Amino acid sequence: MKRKGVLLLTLTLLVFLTGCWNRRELNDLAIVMGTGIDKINGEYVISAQIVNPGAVASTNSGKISQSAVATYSMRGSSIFEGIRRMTTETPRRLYFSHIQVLVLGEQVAREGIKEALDLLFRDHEVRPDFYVILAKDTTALQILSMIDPLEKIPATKLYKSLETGEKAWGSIVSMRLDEVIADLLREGVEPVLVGATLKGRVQTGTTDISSQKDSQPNLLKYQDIGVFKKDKLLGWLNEEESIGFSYITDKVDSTVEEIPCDKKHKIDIEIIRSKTTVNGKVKNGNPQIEISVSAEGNVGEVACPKDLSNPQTIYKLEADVEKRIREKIVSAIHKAQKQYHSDVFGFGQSIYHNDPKGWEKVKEDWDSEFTDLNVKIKVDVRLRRTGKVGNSFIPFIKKD
Amino acid sequence: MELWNEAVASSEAGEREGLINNGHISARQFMILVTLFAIGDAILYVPSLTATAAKQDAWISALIGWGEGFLLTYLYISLSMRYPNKSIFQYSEDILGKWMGKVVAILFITYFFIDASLMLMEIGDFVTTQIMQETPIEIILVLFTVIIVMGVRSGAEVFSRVSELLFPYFLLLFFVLIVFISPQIQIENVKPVLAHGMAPIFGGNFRYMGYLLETVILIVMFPLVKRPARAAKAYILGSLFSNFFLTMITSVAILVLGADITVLLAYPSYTLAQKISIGNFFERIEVLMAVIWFITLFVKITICFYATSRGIAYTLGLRDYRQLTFPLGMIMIVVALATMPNRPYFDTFVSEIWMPYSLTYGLFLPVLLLSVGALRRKKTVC
Repeated sequence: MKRKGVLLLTLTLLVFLTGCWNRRELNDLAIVMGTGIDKINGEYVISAQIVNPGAVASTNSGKISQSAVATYSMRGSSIFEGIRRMTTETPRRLYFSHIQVLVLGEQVAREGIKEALDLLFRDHEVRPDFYVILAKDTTALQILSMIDPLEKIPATKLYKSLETGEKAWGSIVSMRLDEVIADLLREGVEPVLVGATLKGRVQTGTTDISSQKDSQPNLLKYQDIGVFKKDKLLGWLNEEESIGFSYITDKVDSTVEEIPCDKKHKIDIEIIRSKTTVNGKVKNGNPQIEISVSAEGNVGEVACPKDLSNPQTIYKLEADVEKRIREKIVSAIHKAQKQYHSDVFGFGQSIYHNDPKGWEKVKEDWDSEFTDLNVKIKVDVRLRRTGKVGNSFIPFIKKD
Repeated sequence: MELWNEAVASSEAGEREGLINNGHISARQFMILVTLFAIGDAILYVPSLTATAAKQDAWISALIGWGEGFLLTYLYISLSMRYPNKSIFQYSEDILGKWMGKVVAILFITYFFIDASLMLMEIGDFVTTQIMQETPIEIILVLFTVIIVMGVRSGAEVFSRVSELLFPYFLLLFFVLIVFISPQIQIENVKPVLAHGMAPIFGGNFRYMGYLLETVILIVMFPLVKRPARAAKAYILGSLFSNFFLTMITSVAILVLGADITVLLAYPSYTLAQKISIGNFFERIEVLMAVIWFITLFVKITICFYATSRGIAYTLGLRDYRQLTFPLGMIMIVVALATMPNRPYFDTFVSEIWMPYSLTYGLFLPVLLLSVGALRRKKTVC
């Protein structure tokens, strides 16, 4: 009898005990996919891109459907204040667990990013696995608003093209939040962030109609790497320097190197894998850095009459590619040393890793040491294959 | 005949304390209890505590802990083996006399109880910091206490079996965590090794030892194993296993997050789980991973709570410790809430005070009991 009573009580309690204390049902959540932070007149402007789940899932193609996202923005003297004040505009409370990108406006980056990052590192809702990017020559809100025909959600587009671009081209570096913060904390390395910028006319890109067309007159693209000193943006590395940066920091998976073979024509070499080791040490009180890159490539595109069946040509090409890579590396180092005085490559870190005692001697004056640093570069490229064909068909085209 | 007398004597002592219905636990179960107990809350705090002092060498601090853990366990075993089938509350009276013995027993009981309350606070703090920020911490404390009181009321035999059942899940989850985070390991993060000499490493080890010293509480469980020799082996093995797991989590935290980030984080192990992402598909499993420390903390608090109620029952000469569990549970919640006003207070307490405080009970008192016991025995022989 007593048992039955307990059982009954348990069953009754079950009815009342379903669910969490501060549950938030899916239809009460505004899932934020991307966040942007700008600074205008000394005040932060926070934008949040909220996904509209119904529109993302809709299959009625052909019809103009609802927009897949809604992007809100709100000013505030701090990030937190701005986010909470945004609830005066949004119908639902913002939910930050799924953000994929954080876009920082160029103005914020120039004035310092540290205040902007603290909330996202501290808040329990946010996972530290999203990418941080910069808006170059534009605002974060603008970057977040560009719609791409392949990805309904702009934040997802930013996330995916960052990963693809990093793998296949190499001028992009992806930085997650905790990596940025780690670079701010560690000695002997300064952070970098990749910049996204707009090309073409901005107005049409933000409307949903543009996604109905198949050719894109206006798009957003990743371009240049922003060089920081502490948490302040100093300037940019251009595409070539950015690839040089990727080589030095061993971030190149695959890229393409162009070798001119005469005035008009060139050969493209596809780098399929690359490995860089950086060795730093202090000798007689002078810091020394040795970079050695070993890469493997294939002949990708040939537009000139060269005899590729001859091994000597391949060796010549190897030497040319080595020269190209060296140029890129040198240009990146040169810019960081002479223009920005900022050790974005982590040379100091490398000295600290290999020669901690030596690092103690040079770390006080590292900025000026870095500027005059002597860097030895060794590049070794092996070309293996020439693709499906040997020689190009171009020289054999019949002449008339 | 002598053996018989001893057995009668020990069963009489047992009767007085209500030992009889507690049954016995196997050496295997004891080993699992030791392992899960020593991992306990350390799995949450050890990475950042050791890294605060030792930076990228935190894993060496943990590695040194293997030796210390072995020596400490050896001390506890020597003490327990000297008085087989008697609990620490009994033999402290045998050694130091009735009144001094009782004082030592009460000191131990306060230590057990404070430890239990602290850990209860930790689980509440973890849940309200990382998962459900708006839930009142009291609710979590009450729910967790209910389970612990249930476990302790069921007796040592029952919660030892529960630990035995939970152990495979613990192993599975732990290795899932380690294996799936391992692609993100960067060897650079541990470089340079030993750059600043041994001093910071011992600084990290100092805090790590605070956790090792807590294993003294398992001395209460020791007499429940029928054969002391097997219990001793289990004690040592369990201590080594737990050190293995703790060294593993410390190393992986440093290797993946880097020392600088690990230091800043309140719960580095949880952040590790958050970072798991296999092919952008197998990810966001951190709440599942949190089950790891729900298991270890459950075992640890239950043992601390069990030791407290057994101790009080013995000191007050009660027949059954079970009647104490409800009021003690309520007091534990209040103590947990009252002793820790905020997180920085807790951090300071753990990193600066806990180790010396534990040293009193984990090293000083056992050594005292052991040496006084040895001296006394000599005296009676002469």
